Amino acid sequence: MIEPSIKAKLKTIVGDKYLSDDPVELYCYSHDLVSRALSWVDDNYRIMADLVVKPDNADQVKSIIDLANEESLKIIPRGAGTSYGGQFLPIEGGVVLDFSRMNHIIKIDTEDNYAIVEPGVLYKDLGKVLRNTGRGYWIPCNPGSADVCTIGGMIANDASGESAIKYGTTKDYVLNLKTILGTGQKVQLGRQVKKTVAGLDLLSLFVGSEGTLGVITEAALEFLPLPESFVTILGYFDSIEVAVQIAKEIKEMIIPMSIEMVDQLVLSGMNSYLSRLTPKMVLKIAKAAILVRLDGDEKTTSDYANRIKNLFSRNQHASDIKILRGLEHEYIWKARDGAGPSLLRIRRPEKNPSSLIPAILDFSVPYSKIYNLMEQFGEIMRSHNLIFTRMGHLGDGNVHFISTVTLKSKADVQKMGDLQEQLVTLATSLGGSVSAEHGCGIWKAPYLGTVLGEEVVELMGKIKSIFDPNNILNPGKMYSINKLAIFSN
Amino acid sequence: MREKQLLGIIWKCNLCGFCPKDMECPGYDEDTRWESSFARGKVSIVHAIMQDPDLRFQNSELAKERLFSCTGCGHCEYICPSGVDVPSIIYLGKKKLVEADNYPEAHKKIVENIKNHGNPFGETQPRDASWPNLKGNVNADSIYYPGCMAIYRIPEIALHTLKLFEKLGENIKVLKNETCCSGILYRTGHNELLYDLTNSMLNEIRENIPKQIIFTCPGCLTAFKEIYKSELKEKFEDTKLLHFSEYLVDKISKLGDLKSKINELLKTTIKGPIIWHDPCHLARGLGIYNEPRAILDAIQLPYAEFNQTKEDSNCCGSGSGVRSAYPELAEKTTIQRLEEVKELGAHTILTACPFCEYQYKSVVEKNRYDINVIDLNNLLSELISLL
Repeated sequence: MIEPSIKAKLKTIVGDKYLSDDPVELYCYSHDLVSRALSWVDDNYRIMADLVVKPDNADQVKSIIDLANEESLKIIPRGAGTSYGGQFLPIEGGVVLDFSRMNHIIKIDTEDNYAIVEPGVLYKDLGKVLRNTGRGYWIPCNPGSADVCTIGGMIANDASGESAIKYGTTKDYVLNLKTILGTGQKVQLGRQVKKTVAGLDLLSLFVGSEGTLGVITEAALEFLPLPESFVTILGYFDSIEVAVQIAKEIKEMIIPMSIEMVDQLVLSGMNSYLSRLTPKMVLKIAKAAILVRLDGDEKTTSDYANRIKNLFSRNQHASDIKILRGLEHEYIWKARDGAGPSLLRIRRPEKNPSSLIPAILDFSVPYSKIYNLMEQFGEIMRSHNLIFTRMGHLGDGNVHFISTVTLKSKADVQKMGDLQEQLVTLATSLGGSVSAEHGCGIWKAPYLGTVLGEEVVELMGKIKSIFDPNNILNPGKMYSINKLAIFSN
Repeated sequence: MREKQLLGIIWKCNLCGFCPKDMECPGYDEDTRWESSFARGKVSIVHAIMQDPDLRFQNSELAKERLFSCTGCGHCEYICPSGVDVPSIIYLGKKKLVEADNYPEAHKKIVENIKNHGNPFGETQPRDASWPNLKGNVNADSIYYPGCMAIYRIPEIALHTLKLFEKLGENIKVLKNETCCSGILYRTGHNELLYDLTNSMLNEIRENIPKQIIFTCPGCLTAFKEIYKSELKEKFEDTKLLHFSEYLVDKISKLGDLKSKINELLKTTIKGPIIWHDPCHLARGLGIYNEPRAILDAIQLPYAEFNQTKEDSNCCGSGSGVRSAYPELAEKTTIQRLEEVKELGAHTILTACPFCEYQYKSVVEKNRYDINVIDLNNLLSELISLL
């Protein structure tokens, strides 16, 4: 509960119109898929922000942070609210800082190939401007939420996606950031240069810190020339094991823009999405399919597309190999990007809520362990009689699993927690990470000690206390094991 | 749809936020960009209402404004990767708010009018005096259902349609107990009134099952085809329910050599270029977008397309009682469309929905746009008169 006098001060900072304490608005800012489902059966998950404010500029952000330090307010920075780890959940209440008004592209510089933007700019909107600038440019980190996520959210989560194998993650494109630390201090991190080893790399520390160290008010991002052409090679396989093996062979030949694997349930989900985009395009339902995306000049992409097609063709477990260009190429990647959300159709409509098991959404393991992870994951899920899917960015060892648990009581919440623990143990025993690209938020934070070592998490906490000594920024995330995060009452 | 089923649909929404946050969602507030103003927020509001022991959400002004400002255009459902039926979730939320007597005053008036007069406008006369006497057609096995908007607000649509039926030699009748389809009641959360207010009309249909019922209003067709099915279990198994464009598409040649008069029409009655507007209920809701185009192609009428078309088309801003409860919001959406029409260089919007036509016309008039709006059947009828 925030005192009326503090509320009045916040109103003075952002303006009446841009502050809300209406319970309906607050509810909309207070849940992700997992917490919403859990709240249905367990009051402990009834999360509620105290206020939402929408600053318009860096000075307003600074004033809010200064006030938060004076009055011990908690601040939860929020982009588009499209992350999967509960990063934006106001689990201790507080003030949600919504950046949707700070959505201006300040500068596009084609001399030095960088853009300066405010954090609320949509990746999609910046992409459109860059495509239409000069000879055409892009920032190819391309997360699955590319159509809806903000640049600020991408930086805070070091977002990436299918093209990480070739183009890396958001941090590879951030040249510098204007930030306001938890102390209220305005700090610029990084220079307008690609290479610098002058001092500790605090810029990299900041990228992916999930709004726990400071708030981004402006970012300079490098952009690259847009490739001349794109092409996709699609092949179906009668086993996941073969698909994983063949992806390795592709990697030995070329580092493509993407190598994606999807299983049969994901193919169904993609078909359901495709049926709305283009009814003519129907994917075959096979045990596994591989999508390889190539980008570059026409000749090189065509040559490699044919080589990869031949590689697939020589494999007796492959079938229906196709080279997709133009609209077909675009549609299949749109369907792939929407595959996560579309997979939630696997749940039958029923009165009881179902929740994703959040920790299993996003693992990464060494390439040689991908198939082991998939197989053992399948065994565990089958032992619990759960429907599950397997998909992933095979190129970089990043696997996404999706399964849901029906929640009828608090006991189911506990069971879900136990299952999550079991799966995390599996991933870590194979030398993997519990979060390859979706972030930690609250749902994966409890496992950081297992993956990184308790002493490392302790060091992280010490760093946090330098940037944000009063722990006002995004509390209960990453550094602490929150009661919500461990599914334990 | 039963509440239990709708709850299941809520759980299909994973709050991913892929739903539109621009002109594709008429209710989205571009100025303040509050989360509650687009589809994901609205689903959250319904969720909150469903677990609301102290009724703070059910009695909320903001919940009322957000849910009742949804036109039910279904663009969010089309865009959603999970295909979540957001409009149905929002209808459930509206129903809950109606139960708490928390709904717009304008809708109270609509409900009263339908209860008392059988139409949402409160008109006391059965229909425009210029309607031809169709009593002689009592044995016809085809029914024309014009809908309230064409009866009371744009009678030209109904009159021109009757002219087309005549030219085609179709023996049709209208219902004796014709009343509002009451789709608006479902879309504004008053499902419980549907049975009482449509029963005598539906009994008339049940007693003498027609071969086909032909509609010029996509909203009415949706009520008969989908709402009656889900809410009243009325399936019309032995009756074809057709939009006029579906009915006409393979009979167009019977209207005569209309293409020979296109140039004359464009020189005299209609100012080109013409742009085709896909009504939401027709194109996205019922998947009827090829038929009107096939008709236009058959008569060789040159027409332009909006940037987004067919199932992906944008809403005119009317629908689900938004025009009556939140006229400014409806107008803002319509203006976005009219600006697009201007940008694309068109002068006439051609459509096949009385609600879209009425909304466009009133905003055009109020804001003095140099744009005409015409119904497809009016255009065809005008062509016939030039033969």
